[in-house]
Amino acid sequence: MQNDKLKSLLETVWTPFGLIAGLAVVTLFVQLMGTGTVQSFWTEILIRIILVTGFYIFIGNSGVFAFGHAAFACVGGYVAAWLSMDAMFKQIMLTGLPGWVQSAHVAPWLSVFAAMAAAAVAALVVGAVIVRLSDIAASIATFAFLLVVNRIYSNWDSVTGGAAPLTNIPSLGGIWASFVFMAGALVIAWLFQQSRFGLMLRASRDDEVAAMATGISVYRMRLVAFVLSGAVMGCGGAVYSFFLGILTADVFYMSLTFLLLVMLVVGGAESLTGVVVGVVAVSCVSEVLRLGEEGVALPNGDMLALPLGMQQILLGIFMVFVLINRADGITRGSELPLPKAFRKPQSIVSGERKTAS
Amino acid sequence: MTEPYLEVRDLFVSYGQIAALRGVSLHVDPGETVCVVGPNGAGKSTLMAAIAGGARAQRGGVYLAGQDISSGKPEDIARRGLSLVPEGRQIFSTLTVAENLKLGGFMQGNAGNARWMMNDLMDLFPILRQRANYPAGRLSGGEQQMLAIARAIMTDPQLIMIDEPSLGLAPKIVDQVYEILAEIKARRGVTLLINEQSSARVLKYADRIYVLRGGQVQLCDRAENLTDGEAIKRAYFGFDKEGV
Repeated sequence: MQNDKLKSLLETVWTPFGLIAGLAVVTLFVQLMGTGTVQSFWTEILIRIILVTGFYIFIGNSGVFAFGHAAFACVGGYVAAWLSMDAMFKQIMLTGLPGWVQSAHVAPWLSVFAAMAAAAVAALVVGAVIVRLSDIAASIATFAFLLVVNRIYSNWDSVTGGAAPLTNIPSLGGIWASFVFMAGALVIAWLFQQSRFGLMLRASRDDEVAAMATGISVYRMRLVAFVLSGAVMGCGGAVYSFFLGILTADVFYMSLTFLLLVMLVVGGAESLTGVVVGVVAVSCVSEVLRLGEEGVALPNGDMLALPLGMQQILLGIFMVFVLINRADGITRGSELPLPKAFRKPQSIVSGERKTAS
Repeated sequence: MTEPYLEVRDLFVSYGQIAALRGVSLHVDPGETVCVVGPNGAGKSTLMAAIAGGARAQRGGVYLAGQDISSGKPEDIARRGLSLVPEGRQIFSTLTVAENLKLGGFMQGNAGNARWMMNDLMDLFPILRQRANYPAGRLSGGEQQMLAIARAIMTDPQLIMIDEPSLGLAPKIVDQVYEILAEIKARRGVTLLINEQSSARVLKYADRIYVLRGGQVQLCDRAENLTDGEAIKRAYFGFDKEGV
């Protein structure tokens, strides 16, 4: 009996534990063996996992596609930068900031939490309106929100620097600092999806009418997920701005949105494992394509390179190719399976979700 | 005279220009099994949707234990003890059978009782225990209907409304569904309101029958007065005169 309890506990924590452990092994390997380029490539993957997890918490559980989440990353990224940057720079360049922000010099890791809070508040305000809309209207409204945020951040010179990038943003620390926040994002997403809120939201994804007939307030559940996903996006945006060290609003715009959504869809939008698989797979393909655009030097001195812009085009084709073969993404909505030795006998089927026709 | 548990008074519902319900009145007393019979497009599903808060009435009212619920939200009405099993066995297909049942239990707010009920229901529907960890979408049609009913019971309702429980099921399975409903009623004393297209089976289980056609109640009587089926047939098909 004791053994059974232990096994069912293992079953519930296996997915986040397995994913985090696997990523930790790779991170350690990269840290010990990798060159600087490889290390920053892997750090960016870790940060993208945070961002795609943000998308996933809302999209994966509610089934409603939201295109505007990069806006929350933008909000978070700027808050983190404002709080942690050198006071002198802010007093000269960002005269529109309130005095206490200008003089603030918060530790980067602490400002990540402030970024999460700010993004959560933004998500609450926006979500309270948007989440009421029906599926496709909600998707378009989130997209419109992204445009609005981008326009504001690109033009409000005295607060965001406008078109001139913010520079001298401090660093968060090495690869492991990003790793810690990534692990936190995965744990948050997992706790939410295991909670009764997550279960109720996934029920509404399957059937909205039946969910309401079961007493579920679909609006409230969607709003909870929206705010939580906004907070995680804020975290990702903050960590990303520390990673880049330089920030413009266009960092968090169309091309990032496109990339993150491709990752989510390719990995499988209905499982957390899909998030990790999608980010790693698409990042690797996209890196190969980027190297292709850079080109290789031929012995006779000529450069052989893909035309610029091919990265996006081929990435789109890659997504279509994956979706033709696996409409639900690589993972098809299932989570990391527990190794056979640990499974309880009757739960062998639990890894087979979504295979119904 | 007991007060009716559910009362619908002079209900008008239209979708744009098309009137789906044109002045429907109906009541269900505590402990009764009431069946609404009528052809396709008679307004049966609209009636249930209007009661459960899924469709808005232009006129008339819906009263649950004397209280007006016509402007309530579906989830709030469900919390008041009125559970709808929507047409077409709408189960949560990517969630497991156990998760489907658990969701119904959330509304009770009493986790211990919910667990006990889930166990009890699994005794009643052994197939649900066997398939507890299966995704619900992989159950057969009859099993899904059982699950939808079981999930409704998990909300611990006083009134269960079932929209066409026999839709798309083999006759043998339909018999099973009705036997289970009769058993649940005997055990838990719930009140039932059931929509059906055909009257044959309904006569055996119902206390009272309403015939709905063209958005209006054509006939309302106790089942034992309708056993020969002639009156139902006339109301159902709209033959006003003999021999037409």
